[in-house]
Amino acid sequence: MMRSGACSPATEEERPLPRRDWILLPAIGVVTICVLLCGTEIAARKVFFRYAGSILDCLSMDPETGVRGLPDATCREKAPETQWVEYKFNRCGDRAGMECGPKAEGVFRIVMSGSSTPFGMRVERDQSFAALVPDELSQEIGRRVELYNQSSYFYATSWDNPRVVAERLDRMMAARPNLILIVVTPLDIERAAFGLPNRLVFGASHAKGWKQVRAMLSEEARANIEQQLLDKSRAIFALRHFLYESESEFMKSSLMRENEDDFLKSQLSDQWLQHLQLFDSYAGAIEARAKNAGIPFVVVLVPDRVQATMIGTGVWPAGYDPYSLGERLRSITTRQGGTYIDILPGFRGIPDVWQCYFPVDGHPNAEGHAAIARLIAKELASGAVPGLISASGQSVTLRQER
Amino acid sequence: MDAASFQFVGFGLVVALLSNLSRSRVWRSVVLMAASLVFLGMLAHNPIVFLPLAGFMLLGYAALVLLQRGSSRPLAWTVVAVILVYIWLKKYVFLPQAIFIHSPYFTIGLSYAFFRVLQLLIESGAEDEKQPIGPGAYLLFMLNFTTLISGPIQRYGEFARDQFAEQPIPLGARVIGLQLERIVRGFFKVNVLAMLFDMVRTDALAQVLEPQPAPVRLMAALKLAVVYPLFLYANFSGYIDIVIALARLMRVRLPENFDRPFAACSALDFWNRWHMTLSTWLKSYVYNPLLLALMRRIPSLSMQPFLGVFCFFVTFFLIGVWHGRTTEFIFFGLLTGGGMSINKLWQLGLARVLGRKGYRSLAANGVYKAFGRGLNFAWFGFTLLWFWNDWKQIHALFAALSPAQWIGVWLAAWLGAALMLTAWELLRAALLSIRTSEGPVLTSRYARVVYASALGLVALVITVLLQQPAPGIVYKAF
Repeated sequence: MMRSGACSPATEEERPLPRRDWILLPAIGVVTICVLLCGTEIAARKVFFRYAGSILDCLSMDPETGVRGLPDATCREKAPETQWVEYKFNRCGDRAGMECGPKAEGVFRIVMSGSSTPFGMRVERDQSFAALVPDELSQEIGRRVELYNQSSYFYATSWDNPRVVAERLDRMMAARPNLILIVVTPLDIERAAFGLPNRLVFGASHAKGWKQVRAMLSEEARANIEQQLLDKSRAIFALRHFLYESESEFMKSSLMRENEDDFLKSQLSDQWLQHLQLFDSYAGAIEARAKNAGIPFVVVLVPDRVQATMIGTGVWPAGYDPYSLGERLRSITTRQGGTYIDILPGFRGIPDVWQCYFPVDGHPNAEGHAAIARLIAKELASGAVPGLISASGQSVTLRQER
Repeated sequence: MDAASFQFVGFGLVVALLSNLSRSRVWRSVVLMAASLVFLGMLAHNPIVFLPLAGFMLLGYAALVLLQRGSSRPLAWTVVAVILVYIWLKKYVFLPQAIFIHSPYFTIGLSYAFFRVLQLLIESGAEDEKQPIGPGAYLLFMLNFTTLISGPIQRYGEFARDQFAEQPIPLGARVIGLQLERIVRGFFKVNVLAMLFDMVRTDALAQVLEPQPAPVRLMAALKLAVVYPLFLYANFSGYIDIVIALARLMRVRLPENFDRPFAACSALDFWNRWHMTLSTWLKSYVYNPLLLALMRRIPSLSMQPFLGVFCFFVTFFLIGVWHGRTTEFIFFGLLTGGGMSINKLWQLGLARVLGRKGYRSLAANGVYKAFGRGLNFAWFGFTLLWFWNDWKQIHALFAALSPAQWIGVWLAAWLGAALMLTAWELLRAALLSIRTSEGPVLTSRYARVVYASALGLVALVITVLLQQPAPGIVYKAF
């Protein structure tokens, strides 16, 4: 009977290994792994250099009043996927691009509140939509518009904390705006109760008893390990960056992560309904204050990368609906007497929309901010906001007179 | 459990370990049968869905028993019956929908079971194969989890030789090391390389179909042209690497299915290196008998080469049709069969013009080989458009660029492939020329440990830490 071919590899394969190989081969394996780990880590640290120390020195993080910049502080940050970015705060601790105080005569002032995305995290101030919207809007309505940005570097939601909410509203009103613009992202809503332990917020799981404990443990353990590795290993970060530059891989990877991007499902989970209840109460608090002052308030949802990609490509799996969260926010905002402007459909026309975000970090890049600015300005000027209709109408008249 | 996943590899290694607890053939067969049944159970939880597959296997066994007991006269009828039942179960689109079973059922592995059944029936009619095959051995051969899903197509004689051997083939440390290295290599191919190629393909497809600037769409079309053959190779050969290694750890040698297919300088050579067990099977049971039958009917010597060309067309048309049940696969078969026939005619024509010696000299020329290699690769990539697309998408793809642009894309694919594949061949030859007394350094166990560790680490990071999903095994669907 034939064994295994003409070159008699069987005979060669049957020979016992030399004794030294029992030590040598595993050692070669270990050395290879160590060299590979160290080599890729060193190379990745060179390419994806990060320096984030100083921005933290510029922030005041008080759980009772939220996160704010230190007055007149200037810091620089280098995130792995970005260039160096400067954050300059005014004497009120805002990255507003202007001093806090009364607005100039004849200027239409918008005060914007939100978290890291409207803050302009990872981009220079002049590239952020906070800086671009006034120019875009001024062009649209023919009137000088300024936008005072009160957004904060970290999640600033804490919609469940009356003190934080009151403080934030006081500051908004103090800026004497013509319009309040609340920018929310899906992450803001998910972290609606930022500051509370996760289990209090996410306690409404369907799982019971031991299953619930196990799910929490495994999910948290996985998330912790992943976060630790992302934070500590730049090689893994680089790998993720490379993979997530691809629209298809990013989407596949994002959609298979349980609980993440739950807001994109057609049927929202109980957790997400709870988060929206908190937003409802927050919108109610704004309405109470804004109505007294006669200031309209506008809410806009800025999509995350997954949501924007679904809308941009027009493709999403069954059971998903990237517009669903926006519709719910519209319903809440309108019920509370505010105006919801919908920029989501505008993302359909943006080519390669996933490239408008940093692949791993997830914040919009300069291109993304520019697109968001265009869409917000267009929606604000479209007549959806009562306070701007007259301004817009007036401007048209003025232009015609000229 | 996904084929080529961590779970599958882990399962296979545990089965191999259990199988080696005793050298007894009964023990090894019991372990293989139990493992195969567990594997089936993990693929689908409702036993009802297995009924059509079980029925098909039962039909195969009944036909086998009939042939083993009597003469070979009913052979043709049993073969036809098996083919018809197979076509019916696969729901080929040219059959009326009304005759199909409409409740969902399990067809994974049916195509491979089809080849195994046919081979048993045909071989049972051969004069030198009169060993009766019992129901246990038959079931073990059919359900063997290492070949169930996507082959390789093993002949019963080869399976029985190793599985039922009184003295199983040796399994020393060197063999174990080689198989573990092969598993890592296969796992890397399926879960990392194929994933990356699929990523390029998916993004390129979106770019071609979207309103992008012309240079972006041209580049994307070029990527589409070249990346799918690479993806399919990584996906399929990676899986085959894993199952061959697992089977070897269970002391069974499975036939090789790939032999560096993109080194082939012609379509004829390519199909001797790609899905080898399928093309060998079809050559044995379709090409050779058909050619013999035609030569008996048309004894003209001058016609013989053209009969061969015709038989090539039929054989490789069937390869295309076997892959799927839709008209896209019929077209894929026409292109594959047509390509093979034209290649054969080209060979015949050149040999006639240059003489045999002249043709042999030309075929050995490095530049001719390089262009042939590139042309074969580009042609294969072109035919595969009908393999992974439906008509709607194919139409959209062709409409996305002008005919001149597409011709440019395929010419670029041809020349690019010629250049890259030849450079790879030269590099490989240069690297393999670095030798010690035991052979090339790159194939030494020390080098294998180096790249198995590296590939294993990368695969581990991507699959476990990043949980990046890889596409399923394409051939699982056939």
